[in-house]
Amino acid sequence: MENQLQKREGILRIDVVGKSPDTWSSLRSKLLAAIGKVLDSVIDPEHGTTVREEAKKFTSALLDHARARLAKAGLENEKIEAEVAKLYAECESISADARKKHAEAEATEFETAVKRLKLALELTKAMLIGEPGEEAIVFGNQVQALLGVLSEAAQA
Amino acid sequence: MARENDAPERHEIMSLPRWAQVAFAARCAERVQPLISRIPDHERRVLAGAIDLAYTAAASGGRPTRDSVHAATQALPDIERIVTRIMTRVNDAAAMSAARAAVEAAAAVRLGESPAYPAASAAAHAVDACAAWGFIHGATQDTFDRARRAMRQDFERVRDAIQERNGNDETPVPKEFFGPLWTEGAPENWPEDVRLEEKSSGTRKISGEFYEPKAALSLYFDIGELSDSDIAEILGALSDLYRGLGGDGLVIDRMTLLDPSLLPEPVGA
Repeated sequence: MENQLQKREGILRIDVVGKSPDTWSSLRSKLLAAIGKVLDSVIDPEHGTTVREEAKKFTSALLDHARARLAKAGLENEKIEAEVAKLYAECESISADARKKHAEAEATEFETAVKRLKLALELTKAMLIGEPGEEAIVFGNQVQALLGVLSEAAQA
Repeated sequence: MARENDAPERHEIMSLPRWAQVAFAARCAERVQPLISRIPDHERRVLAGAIDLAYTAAASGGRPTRDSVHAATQALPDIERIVTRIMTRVNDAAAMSAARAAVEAAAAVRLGESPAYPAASAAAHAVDACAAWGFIHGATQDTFDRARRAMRQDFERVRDAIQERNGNDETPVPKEFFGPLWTEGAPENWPEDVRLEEKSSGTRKISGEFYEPKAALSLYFDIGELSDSDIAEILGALSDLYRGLGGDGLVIDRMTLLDPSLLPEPVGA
C-alpha cells in the first residue's frame, strides 16, 4: 500500500529581527535593499511595475490584520513552529562553525551570502511587498495566490 | 517541621488577597532572574521591568491612578513575545523557567482577572528554575531546600502580616516588605545578579518602556510547497546576508501559522 504524505496547507508567518536591536535599526534598510536586489535578479516580473504597485498596498497594518484573522491555534502549528525553530538553530550553528573555519573578508562573506540566498530561492518564488520600512517577503510558487489570501483576510 | 522546606502550594497562594499574590509572584520571579544568563541587556531589561511592574502594581494596591496596571496589561504581549524569543534561542531549562516566572508575575497584575493562576504559576516556574539549575550544576539538596525555604518564608511573612492587619484585595504590599532575597544567604555558586546600566536618570517611566524600536521583517512561507528544512534554509541564507552587511545574525521574533480555510466562503455562484 502506497504511503501517501498528507499535503500541508497554510502560510507560516515568521517575524525576524537582528540579534542586537541597535545594529538591526541601522542595518534593516540595507538588508531589505540587498534582498530586493537578489529578488529582482531571480524573479521573472510578469507584470513589471504593476506588480510592485500592487505589492505596496500591503501595509504592516493590513498584514497584521490578516494575521489576526487567519491565525491558527493548536498543536499542529506548535509542531511546525518548533521544528522550524530547531532546524534554523541548527543552520545557524553550522553557519557559525563554517565562519570560524573559513574567516573571510566582509565583502566575500556578503557575496557568499548572496549566492546562498539565490540558491535557496531556486526552491521557490519570492516577492517583496509593503511600503519602505514596512516590508515583508512572501515565499511560494503561487505568490499571487498567497497575496490574494492575505489581501482577502485583511479586508475581512 | 518538614513544611518549612516546601514551597507554598497553589491553594496556599490563592488564599492570599490580590496584591499579596502579585507581590509574592514578583518576589519568586525576582529571586531566580540571575539564572538567566547569555541574553542581551535589552531582553534582561524587559524581564526586570515585568517584575518591577508587578511590584509597583502590588505596592499601589491598584490605586490610585492604575497606571502601573494599565502599563502591565499593555506590555504583556511584548513581554510574551520576548520570552518566546528567549525560549527558542536559549537551550537552558533554568533560564526558560525563570523567564516564564517573570511573565507570570506581570500577568498576575491584569485587572478583571484573578491573579491566582499566574501567581501560582510564577512560584511554580521559580521552583522549576531552581531545580533545573541545581540539576545542571550538580547542586546539593541544600540548594533546593534553601530556595524553597526562602519562598516559604516570604509566603508566611506576607500571609501573617495580612492576617494581622485584616488585609483584603485592596491592601497594597510594597516590595520593601520582604527584605533580602536570601535570609540565609544565596545557595552555593548561585549566579550573581546582573546589574543593568541605567538607561535614564530620574523618574522611571512605566508606560511605553517595553516597546522595542522595531520593525521586525515579516516573512510568509507557503508550507504546502516548502518543507520545514526549506524554510530554515531560507532563514539561514537571510541571516548570512545580514551578517555579510555587518549584522550579527537574525533571530526569530514570532511565528504564526495562518489558515486560509478560515476565510469565509463567498456567497452565491
